[in-house]
Amino acid sequence: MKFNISEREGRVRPDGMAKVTGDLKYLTDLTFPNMLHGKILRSSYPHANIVSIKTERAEQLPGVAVVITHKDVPGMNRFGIIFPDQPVFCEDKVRYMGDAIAAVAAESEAIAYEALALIEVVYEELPVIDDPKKALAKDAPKLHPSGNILHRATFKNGDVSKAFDDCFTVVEETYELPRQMHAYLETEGGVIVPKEDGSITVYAGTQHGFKDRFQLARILAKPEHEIRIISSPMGGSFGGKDELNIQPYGAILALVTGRPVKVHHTRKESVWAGLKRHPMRITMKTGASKTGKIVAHEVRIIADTGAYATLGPAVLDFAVEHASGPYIIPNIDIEGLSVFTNNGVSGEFRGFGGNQITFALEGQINRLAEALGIDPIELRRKNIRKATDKGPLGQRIAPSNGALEVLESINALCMKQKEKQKQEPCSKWKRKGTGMALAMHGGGLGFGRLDSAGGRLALNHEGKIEIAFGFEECGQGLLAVIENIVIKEIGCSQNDLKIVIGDTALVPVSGSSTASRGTSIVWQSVQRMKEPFTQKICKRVSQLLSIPENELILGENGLWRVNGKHPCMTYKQLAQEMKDGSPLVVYTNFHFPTTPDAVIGGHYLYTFGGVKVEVEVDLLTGKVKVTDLDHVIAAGPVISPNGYRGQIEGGGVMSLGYTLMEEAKMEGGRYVTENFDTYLIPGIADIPFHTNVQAIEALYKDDSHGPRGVGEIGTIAITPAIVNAIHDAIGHWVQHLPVSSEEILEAIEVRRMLEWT
Amino acid sequence: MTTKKENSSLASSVIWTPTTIQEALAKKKEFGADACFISGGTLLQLQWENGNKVPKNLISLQLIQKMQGIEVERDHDCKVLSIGALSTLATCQNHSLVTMERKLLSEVVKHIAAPAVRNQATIGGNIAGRSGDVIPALLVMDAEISLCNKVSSLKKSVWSWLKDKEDQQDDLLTQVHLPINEQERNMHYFYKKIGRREAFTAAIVTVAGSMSLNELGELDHVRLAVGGGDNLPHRLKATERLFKGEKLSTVTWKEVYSSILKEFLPTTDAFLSADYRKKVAAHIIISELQELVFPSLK
Amino acid sequence: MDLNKADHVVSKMKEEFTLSFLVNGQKHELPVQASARLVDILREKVHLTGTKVSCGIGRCGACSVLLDGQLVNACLVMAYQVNGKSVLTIEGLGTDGNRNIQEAFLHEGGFQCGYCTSGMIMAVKALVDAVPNPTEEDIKEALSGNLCRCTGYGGIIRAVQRLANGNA
Ligand SMILES: Cc1cc2nc3c(=O)[nH]c(=O)nc-3n(C[C@H](O)[C@H](O)[C@H](O)COP(=O)(O)OP(=O)(O)OC[C@H]3O[C@@H](n4cnc5c(N)ncnc54)[C@H](O)[C@@H]3O)c2cc1C
Ligand code: FES
Ligand code: FES
Repeated sequence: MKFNISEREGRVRPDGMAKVTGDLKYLTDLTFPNMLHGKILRSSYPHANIVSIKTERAEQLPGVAVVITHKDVPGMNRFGIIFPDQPVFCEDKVRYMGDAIAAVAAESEAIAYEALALIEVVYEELPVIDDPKKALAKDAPKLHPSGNILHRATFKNGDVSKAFDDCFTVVEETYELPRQMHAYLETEGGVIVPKEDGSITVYAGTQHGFKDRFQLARILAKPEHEIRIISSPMGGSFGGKDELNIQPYGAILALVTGRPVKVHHTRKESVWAGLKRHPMRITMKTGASKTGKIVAHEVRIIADTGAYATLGPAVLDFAVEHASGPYIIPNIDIEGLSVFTNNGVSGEFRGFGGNQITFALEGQINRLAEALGIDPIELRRKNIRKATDKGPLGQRIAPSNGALEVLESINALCMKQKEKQKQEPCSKWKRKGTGMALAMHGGGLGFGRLDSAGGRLALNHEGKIEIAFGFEECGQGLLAVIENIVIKEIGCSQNDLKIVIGDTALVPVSGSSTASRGTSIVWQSVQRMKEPFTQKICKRVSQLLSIPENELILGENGLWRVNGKHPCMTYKQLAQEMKDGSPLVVYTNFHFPTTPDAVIGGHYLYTFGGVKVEVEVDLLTGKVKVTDLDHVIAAGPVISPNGYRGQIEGGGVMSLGYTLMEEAKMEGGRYVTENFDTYLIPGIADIPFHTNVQAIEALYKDDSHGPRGVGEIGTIAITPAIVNAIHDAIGHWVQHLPVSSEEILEAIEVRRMLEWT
Repeated sequence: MTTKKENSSLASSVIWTPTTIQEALAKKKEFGADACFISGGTLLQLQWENGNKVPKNLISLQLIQKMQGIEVERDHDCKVLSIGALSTLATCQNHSLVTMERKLLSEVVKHIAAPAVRNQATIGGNIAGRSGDVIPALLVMDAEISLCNKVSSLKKSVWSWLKDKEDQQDDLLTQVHLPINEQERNMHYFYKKIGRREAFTAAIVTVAGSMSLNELGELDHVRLAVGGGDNLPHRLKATERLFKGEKLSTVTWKEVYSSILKEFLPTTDAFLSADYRKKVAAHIIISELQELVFPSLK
Repeated sequence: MDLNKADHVVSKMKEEFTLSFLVNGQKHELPVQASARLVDILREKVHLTGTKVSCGIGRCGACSVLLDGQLVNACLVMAYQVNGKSVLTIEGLGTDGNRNIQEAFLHEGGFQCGYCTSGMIMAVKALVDAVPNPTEEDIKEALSGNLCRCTGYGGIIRAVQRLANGNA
């Protein structure tokens, strides 16, 4: 396992010690005196009218404090990040198995469960729309007043139909992608604590505390300042905790009872209620000239968004935007539909639609290469974007040579692999294959979306340099990124620093911890704040000690005079001196960098990734194993080597699972898999010990945007690369994920690779 | 949706801890259907999680000395490895007598669950659950089990125990016996568990086999068994017969293939069809038998 | 009640009994239900929340602890099964000053969100106690029951290898 960036400074992440000793309190570990336990009654049917809800028997059970339903929601009985269409509690209709009907607060979890069983709900079942095809049928019942189409997104350029006529080769294929579960190890949960003055503190993981506060204020009909959200640390999120989950239920229960209420989903409850990655059906028709110039690309996307909107529209926009990836194709026609069904709610998930669309796109490129008889890498080289080319929606973007640089590195790795493979004979019942793929991924929310960023830097009263962001630590290593950047840019040491995140009472607005934007924003914020902050501090110290400002620098433990042997004033002393004066604090507020062209959702900062894999196909079982994996990533400078590598390796394995085994299958609107016994994520035996990460750190000349986030880019190219390698091994193209060993075995038999069949 | 945590009946169960086989059987008789034996409890808890009823009385076997320990015994002129039913799977994997005398069992157990579960789960529970992954291996090793009930105690081959459809719910499985003399006859064994992921997963199919070649180069003692997951474990008797008196060079593999497809009746689930499971079992069995004559690099 | 001294009358554990066991070397006597899960007892009664629950059915390893030195899933172990025994949780690991495993995890990026980490470290402890110089195969087998969604296992593998090389 190699990484071209060795650990530059042996700094361990700030939250590390508490994590390896078990001392860290996750929000689901908290208990409070007099605390009640909350449980939520979910629907019994994927689609039904609610005839009646009777809670009396549950209320009478000893130990039950309260039972609530839609009647108890003080404000708006709806939530949803983009537009609120999901009922906190259903009034008259359920649209998926995760819909909430009622909630109970009781002295123990066991009593709460008993009470749930006593709530009598009479339903009138309705036909279940368990596939977007059914939802789009003319006579389909409407799941929402506006119909069954949540969102339509299109992009057109040139004239595809004319271009196809002139093509030498056209390939057309439909790709199908499954519902993936985030499978963070910590299920949703937390504690909501009410105060006598009517305010509440919500201790529950989310990716955007202020957004939760905004949504909860609407639901509770309370001013935002009466709601405090403490939302870090989290045991993983990957997009899955971006939307509200248990918060509204815990909050109402706490307000009604006046007691702290803990709600913590079991895995099963998490599966039922939680978000998933959008299943998509993508048809692509792609044509090229004889010399391999891709000239036409037609794409149709149908996304199963489930019962409610959450970020469904944005996910579809992202998929549409990335449908041509890093390739320059003159004639393009893309149309996507995000469709309501009675399946589980699909929403934000690391990669954000990029995984699905890139699987299809890279599949097309490889098939085209085969049809044209051109080496797939050469075909990519012929069509790849140049540094200053426009973005995929025709918008101006920050120039980057990342695409080509990644391609060339991957090419070198593929050549090496082929050499190695030649030398290693394969066993009789196995076939090896090598595959590669590229990915391009936009960071930030995109043009036309409120994408405010910011931070705060101060010398606090304890004498610590305090940096605050409205971000969350989901595990991604945000704290280490902040620490490394501040130490490098400000010059202080680890001990001088205090990082504040994850508490709406203490942090400034930084936007959400999503869209690979965290690292970018931290770096840009510090760039903006370091000058004014240093100046402010030096000015003050200069006044106090009568040393010229320009001879002072910030260093370990305090301010140093140039060439001094120790600090002339420690941060602590300075804090003492300023006890009564105005505080030393600077703020920054800015908008995440966006394209100057008014292309809704279009991104400005892109990262590039490439993967080379080797797989081994078992001819007896059709099973596929990844035996060797290389990532090449171009995302600017590496801030925190362990964190960077961990994001790429971890993201890669998450998508290895997506490709080879993960599927949150639903039948008739019900989950077939409800826990980790049948929803399989990769274990340590499934991953190649030979995994290397190569970071290309150089940015395009004069690029002033600094390091980009790498939370998502490592999850994308691996999927098409594996499928490409399978083709290399046995000559079969997979278009349906997760790769079915049954399908592979059939392909093996069709090819008569086993003499007895 | 109910989970074990929600299953309030478990909280009110009484746990009995007999120290002898007789006491355990007496308790079972006393409570009948309202009681069950529990060893490691790993399988039972899974079943409860999936909504099975928790009996009022749980008879823990944990303290019964007679059902513990591993030793080599003589049975007439045969050497037998006797394994107490309470031996954990981890013990079966690592015990020196097992690794010396019956390496196959150790290999097999390695593919069951993961270390933490193996430290708790017992071999008795694996067998008594009737779908455990050890069963196919026991079938090809000609294993026997000791069973006790209120009236008698007897030894039975695992195969005939499986075939007996009569209700044996009240029987206590006390010992597993693996003959070890066979090895001298140059037996070859194989065992494969195929799952949807490389490790720590339920079996799609589990296959085991044994065979030897006699002086004439003919196949001898061919035993083939399948099982795993929700598939009922059993011997492939008809397929075994195809090898009688055959040399490896004369075997018609196509015939073997179709025979296995006919004889093995696995389950279908949301992920994989019965058809696929049959084929996988057949491919593995054939490849393993072929490896015997034409060993290739593995 | 001491399980090991059951007399002629078949002992039984009523719905509730007094569980007596050691946690990280400290003796505890607690009234609990005989079938209560060890993980709930540790988290709710002993107030040690380092041991996590993620699947509740033995399928993820987040709840791994050592029971009399053996790795088990605390969500599958019932109260009566630990009576008279000794439990080591993440909080008890390294209290003797030997924090090698934890150090290795810190330096090699063996965790991200940290939610699998307590269990993972206990599984590594069980591994290196038995096999100080584990091979790739040993590592795969020993950690096969511990799922990690964040790291992709790379950092975990490097941490174990670092331990094997003795430079924790
Ligand atoms: C996470 C997990 C993974 C698993 N993976 C696998 C796997 O890969 N392969 C596999 O085969 N199994 C697997 N299992 C199932 C199970 O753990 C094993 O089969 C195990 O060996 C059962 O042993 P136990 O002692 O825990 O049985 P228990 O749960 O105690 O009992 C199982 C059944 O046998 C009965 N019983 C137990 N002992 C006796 C006895 N001595 N005499 C008569 N009846 C008895 C019980 O009444 C019960 O019906 C898994 C279980 C879990 C929780
Ligand atoms: S919580 Fe115990 S193994 Fe998952
Ligand atoms: S570190 Fe998050 S699950 Fe392992």
